[in-house]
Amino acid sequence: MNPTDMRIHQETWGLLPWLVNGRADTAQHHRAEAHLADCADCRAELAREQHLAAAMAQPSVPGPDLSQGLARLMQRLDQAAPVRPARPWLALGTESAGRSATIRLSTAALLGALQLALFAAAAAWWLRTSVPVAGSANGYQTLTQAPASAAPVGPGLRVVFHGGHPISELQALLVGHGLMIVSGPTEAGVFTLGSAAPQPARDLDALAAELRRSPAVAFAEPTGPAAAR
Amino acid sequence: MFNPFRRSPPAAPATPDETWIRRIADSQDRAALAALYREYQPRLVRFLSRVTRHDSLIEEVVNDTLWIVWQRAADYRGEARVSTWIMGIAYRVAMKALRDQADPCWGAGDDTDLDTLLVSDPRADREMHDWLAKGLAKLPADQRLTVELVYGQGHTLEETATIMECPVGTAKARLFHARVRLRNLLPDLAGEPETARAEGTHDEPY
Repeated sequence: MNPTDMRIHQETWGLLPWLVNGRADTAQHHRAEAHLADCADCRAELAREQHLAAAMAQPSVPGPDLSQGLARLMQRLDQAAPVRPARPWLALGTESAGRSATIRLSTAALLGALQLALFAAAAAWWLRTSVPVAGSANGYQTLTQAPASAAPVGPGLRVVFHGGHPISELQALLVGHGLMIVSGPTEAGVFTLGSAAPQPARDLDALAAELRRSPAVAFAEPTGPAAAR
Repeated sequence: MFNPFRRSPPAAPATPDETWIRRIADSQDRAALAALYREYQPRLVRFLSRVTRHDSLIEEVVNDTLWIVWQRAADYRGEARVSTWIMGIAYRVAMKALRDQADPCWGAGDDTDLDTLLVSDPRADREMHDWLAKGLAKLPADQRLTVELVYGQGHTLEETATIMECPVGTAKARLFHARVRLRNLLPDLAGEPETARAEGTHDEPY
């Protein structure tokens, strides 16, 4: 076999798995076909590998029962907490799948912040009502002692955030407007915001419009007709 | 004229698995997950049975795999085929489970699991299964899985490398060595003269 023939022979030998499993492209098919017509060795190898593939397609062991396994998986779903809220942001039609992970991350972070705020509020109540806090009297504050402004003040806003924005940006947005998360997200992804500190009557329409100008905000409206204007 | 294309692709996309993934991502559709489970459980079982004979471990890996698919369906970008994505998850889950359990079937090829494999399968054609089981049992596990992914599941070299988290060159070398070893271990079923087998192999991966 001359060097050229040997090269073609070896190339064809390398293509055999893809002829067998159906993943060879048209050009590879043509190259292999020409050589196979003349090469008994490659034909034998091709036939052997076709037998191998046919044998591998058979179940090698009975394996676990499909129905029982599926039932156990469904049971696991029942027992587990929902992995995430249904993707409400998709309804806005602006989010790519690629950004949804960041959205969930932001949501998780916001939920964490909310939990922290609720915990802080509860801790403040507990400290005020049951335990004399010597530290406060002495002019310092413990980490678990929430500031007096932990509870929201006055009417609020309903807001839906866009994904893809870091939690630091959302935090700066809320702090910058003197807002805090009161509740949410709902299943539709809505957060209710309130004033973080007592303030003169706020123009909630103007505040909502200001929030809407932020690229992180998809939706912002006063909570309802009862809101102070 | 000689026709080498006697066999259809074993893993041609015959099911709308991308649609199921999308339905899981968009609305956590359990029916879609169940459909995906029915489609993938048999091929996952076959893949996993190449490295372990324990049904309980196989089911655990299958269910952990589909559980991850359920949780991370929104992360599927469509850059690879669904089958490549799912098999990759299964591979990682299986590797961790086998490491944790120090499964004796993992590692260098030997005959330790051969008897169990043979007696546990009354349905398969005994002769064909015998030589396949004997041949595969002689391969190291990474070569066994490579052979399963390429011949059993119809994946390309690139997909195999993605699933097994290795460079394409490594997958290529594993396939090469597995083919050479199987060539010497498996009977000459094609009925070609034995002398024809002297040529065709090389010292380096093709």
